[in-house]
Amino acid sequence: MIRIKGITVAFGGVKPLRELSFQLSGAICGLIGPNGAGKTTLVNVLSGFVTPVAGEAEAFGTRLLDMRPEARHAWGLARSFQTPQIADDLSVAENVMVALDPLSLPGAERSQRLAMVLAETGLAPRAHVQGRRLDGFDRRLVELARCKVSRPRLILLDEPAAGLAATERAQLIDLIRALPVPGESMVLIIDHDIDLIAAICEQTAVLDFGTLVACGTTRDVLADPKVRAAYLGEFEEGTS
Amino acid sequence: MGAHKLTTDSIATPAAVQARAWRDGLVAYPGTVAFLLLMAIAVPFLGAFWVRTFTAMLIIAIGAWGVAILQARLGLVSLAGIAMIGLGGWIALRLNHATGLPFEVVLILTAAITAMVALVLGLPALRHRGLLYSLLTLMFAAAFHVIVSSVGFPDGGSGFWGRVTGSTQRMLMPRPAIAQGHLAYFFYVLVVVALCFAFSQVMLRSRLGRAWAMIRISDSVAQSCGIRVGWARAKAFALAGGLAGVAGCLWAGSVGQLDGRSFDPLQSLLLFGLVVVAGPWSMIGALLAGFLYRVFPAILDSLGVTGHVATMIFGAALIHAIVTAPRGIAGQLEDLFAAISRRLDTERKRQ
Ligand SMILES: Nc1ncnc2c1ncn2[C@@H]1O[C@H](COP(=O)(O)OP(=O)(O)OP(=O)(O)O)[C@@H](O)[C@H]1O
Ligand SMILES: [Mg+2]
Repeated sequence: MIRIKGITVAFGGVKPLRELSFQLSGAICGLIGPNGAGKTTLVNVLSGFVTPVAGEAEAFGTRLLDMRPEARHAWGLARSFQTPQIADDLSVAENVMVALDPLSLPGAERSQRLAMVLAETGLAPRAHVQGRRLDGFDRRLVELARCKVSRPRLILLDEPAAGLAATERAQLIDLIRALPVPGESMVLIIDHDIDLIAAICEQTAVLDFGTLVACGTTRDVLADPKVRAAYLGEFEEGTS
Repeated sequence: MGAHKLTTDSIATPAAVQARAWRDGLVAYPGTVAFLLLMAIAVPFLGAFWVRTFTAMLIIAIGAWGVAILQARLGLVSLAGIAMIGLGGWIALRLNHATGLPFEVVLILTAAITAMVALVLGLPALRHRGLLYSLLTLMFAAAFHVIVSSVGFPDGGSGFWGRVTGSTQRMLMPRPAIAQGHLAYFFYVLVVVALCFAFSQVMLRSRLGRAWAMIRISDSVAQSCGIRVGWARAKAFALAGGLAGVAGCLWAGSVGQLDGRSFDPLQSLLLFGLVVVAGPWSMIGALLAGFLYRVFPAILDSLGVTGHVATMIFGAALIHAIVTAPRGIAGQLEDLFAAISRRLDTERKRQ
């Protein structure tokens, strides 16, 4: 469960988020909106890369903005990036291990967790392949494995399915479905693919121009005339 | 499904991944090992002058490797490569004259102290990428040169600066007991180079090296994995400083006394340029940088060509490298060997 209260972000004169407030709960939730709506900026605020000029963010009762970015990882925050961020000169396994390293877990626990996420994501046979040799889908998988291995409470996925083929997308959706532990953790997905959001998100928030258009159960939100006008209308025209 | 795969692919435990990374780091560098072996075999056949020149080359290579790690692994431009080696030399001379401890002890203490100084010097740049660190190191290189050219290096006197006054006999730093001759010292330095390379590979291939790889992508990405960016960067400054300290101590031991004129800030700039040309990603690159810095000018000199020509060639090579070969000469060599072995593979399959 996350609660956003009055968040405003300013880059000079540009204000990608303006007094944004909403609340989402559920194992998997969605965050949608047209290009430039401020979705990535919100994820950056939650993970600490952008400091808002005003507002608060709370997840599972903890005030996220009070923590330093790297401390949020230990608290239980993990995120992926709109363009996957994989170290070219590290192997797949090492790229996943980086998220495990700062946690100082006992050796057996580390082994078990690493082996498990590599197996679950299907990356195990390629565990020793260098990052530079991975294709787009594998990069997404590595990021997902990295998000999973630290057993986070809040997982932020920024367009995880962008640019994937249909079969890859289906595989990714299965993996995302298996990510959250109900009641203990939550996944927040940004995506432009409304079908994906409708299929897996319990609740969804819609942003446009840095403000909230709608927020609630995904079904209600997607049926909302304001949402259809602001976003889905142009989206459906674009695809059909 | 997960459980099934877990048993078949259980090789990917952190211990196995770590072991494999270290193996890659230590053993899977046949080029570096071959390079060092070749030197060990060939250099003894050269005259005393060339033995000393190649010794100097190896010493520079240690410092260059520190500069290369900062550049390639963390994206930091250190413009104090030679100055840091000079600082190491100053500390080694001061320690040696003050304590008379065995060479090896002075070597380790020098590395530790130089690492600390390098860390403190880098502190203002911990939270920044790029320009600030370059400026700090450039300022250090200039300041160090001013100090050593006016005060000079310790030569057995008393007080903080350790300078002999009046007609008292100046003292030289003795070489290690087991390596008094030029050739013995060459081999001594060669072993220290190998140890430094191995030590740095262990660091590059463990938790810290993984953190550096993430920091190179971006500070934000590293932080999202829980990495304390400032702390990880501080350790890189310390590693590069420690390597420079080792180089400085070996240099002081090689000639017994150092001269402020060797530590002009331009020399540090030149070393950085050579590291980029030679290939900052690999240890061969560091060795090549040492070669270009120390041996190449000596070869030109012996052919009767002035040193300025070397500088011009370096300038052209730097532009060439930046434009065409981002991984430097070492990278081009690696590509060449890879191409040859691929060729041999296909030939073998054809038969
Ligand atoms: N660092 C920055 N400096 C200045 N402006 C920025 C910065 N980051 C984002 N913006 C602006 O803020 C607005 C919101 O950007 P953001 O990346 O959050 O959008 P988004 O909803 O993720 O869009 P997309 O769907 O294209 O990823 C955009 O107008 C963008 O140009
Ligand atoms: Mg975005």
